[in-house]
Amino acid sequence: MEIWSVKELIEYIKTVLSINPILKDVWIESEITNKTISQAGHCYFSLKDATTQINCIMFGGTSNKEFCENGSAVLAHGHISIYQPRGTLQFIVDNLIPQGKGHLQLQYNQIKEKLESEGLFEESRKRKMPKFPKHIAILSSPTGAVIHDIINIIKRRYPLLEITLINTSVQGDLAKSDICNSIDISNNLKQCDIILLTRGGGSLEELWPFNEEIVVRKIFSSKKPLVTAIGHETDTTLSDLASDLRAPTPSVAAEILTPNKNELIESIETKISSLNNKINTDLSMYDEQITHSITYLQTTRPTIKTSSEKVQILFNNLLSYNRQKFNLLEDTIINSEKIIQSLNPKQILQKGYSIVEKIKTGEIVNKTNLIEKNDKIKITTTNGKYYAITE
Amino acid sequence: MIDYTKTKLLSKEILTFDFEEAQDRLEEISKLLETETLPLKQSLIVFENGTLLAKHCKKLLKEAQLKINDISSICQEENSE
Repeated sequence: MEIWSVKELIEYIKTVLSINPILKDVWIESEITNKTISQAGHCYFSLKDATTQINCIMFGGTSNKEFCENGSAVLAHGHISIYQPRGTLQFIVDNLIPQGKGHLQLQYNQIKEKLESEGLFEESRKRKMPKFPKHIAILSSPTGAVIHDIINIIKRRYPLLEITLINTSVQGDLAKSDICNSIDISNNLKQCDIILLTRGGGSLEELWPFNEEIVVRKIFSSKKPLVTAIGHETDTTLSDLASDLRAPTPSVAAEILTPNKNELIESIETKISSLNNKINTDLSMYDEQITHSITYLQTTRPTIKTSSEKVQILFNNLLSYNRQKFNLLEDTIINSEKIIQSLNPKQILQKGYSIVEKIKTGEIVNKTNLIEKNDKIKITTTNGKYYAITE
Repeated sequence: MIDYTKTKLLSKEILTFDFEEAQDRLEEISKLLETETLPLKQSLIVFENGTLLAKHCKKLLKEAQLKINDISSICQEENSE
């Protein structure tokens, strides 16, 4: 009977395990549990079935270590060995391939990395959406609330936008080729100026067609601006990364792509007011200028007025002067009249004198030698005449 | 490029403008009136152009009826056959 020490036995088992062709190249499909990471960066965990589990280790630097998460379904590759200090069996994992959701995540990362390196997600190549789109092609499933929500929003916000619905499978095996075909159809629609590729929320598996390389490349090569609105805000597909614009949800896409009719009407009304104000201001300005000119002309009238006043003053002066002259003349005339009156011989008759005229010659007899005997004379008194014959 | 201070747009010409074209022209006219000091005759022409365009824009928005075309992709048609 051969007696072994523990060390010898463990070392023997270790050698047996290491040369066994099956145990040195093992694939196990299972679920990860009890994951811990050592200070050295090694990842310790267990793979378990319903009733059995095996201790595992992934040394630091092993590929796909990021998929080592508790609860994840994985396909692990490695070899079986024994941990000498404790004599425990362990599975030394050198590759970990996620299964199910994890598997898709790995594919997602791989496609993303590849397309990113080719520049498919470059921000700089993304095109701007037209401010007033004329025709939108909507690529989506004809059934479901998404399309109705979008139509309602467009109808409310900007009914000038013509819609072409292109019924497209957005889930399942047919989806990727259908999406590609629909993008081609949209690009051939002459009037179309925006393409919207959209669907409602779903699981990673349901949204998977939007991560297919062929779809992402088709989006990248679209001649017309292409908007994606796939799933919920938290779902970012590779299609979203390659599109010109990514809307967090289908409804938001409809909002982003359309101007608001009411705001536009308001803005147009503001412009009409501005036009009216402007023309009124202009007219007021011209009115003011004319008023100013009139006022200016009116301010020049005082000169005329002054001239007129001067003329009046001169005229008055002239009148006054004439009046004085006239008065003076009148006085002179009156005086002269008085003098004449005083010189009237009849005035003297009042005092008792008489005028004697020689009838024959009409001479006034004011001397004695002028009259002879039997001369006929006329004697004028104040109130009458006498005829007499001298003796 | 139209000189909106000299050229009076015809009503029937404006009717052919789609919303974007009318809106762009209206925008141009608004800026013109804000920045330029124009003689009265030109101001009146600009005013008339702007008013006609604004009315056309409003009419387009208010009377618009959503037009929806419905087509299926070739792939779907092929598959359903």
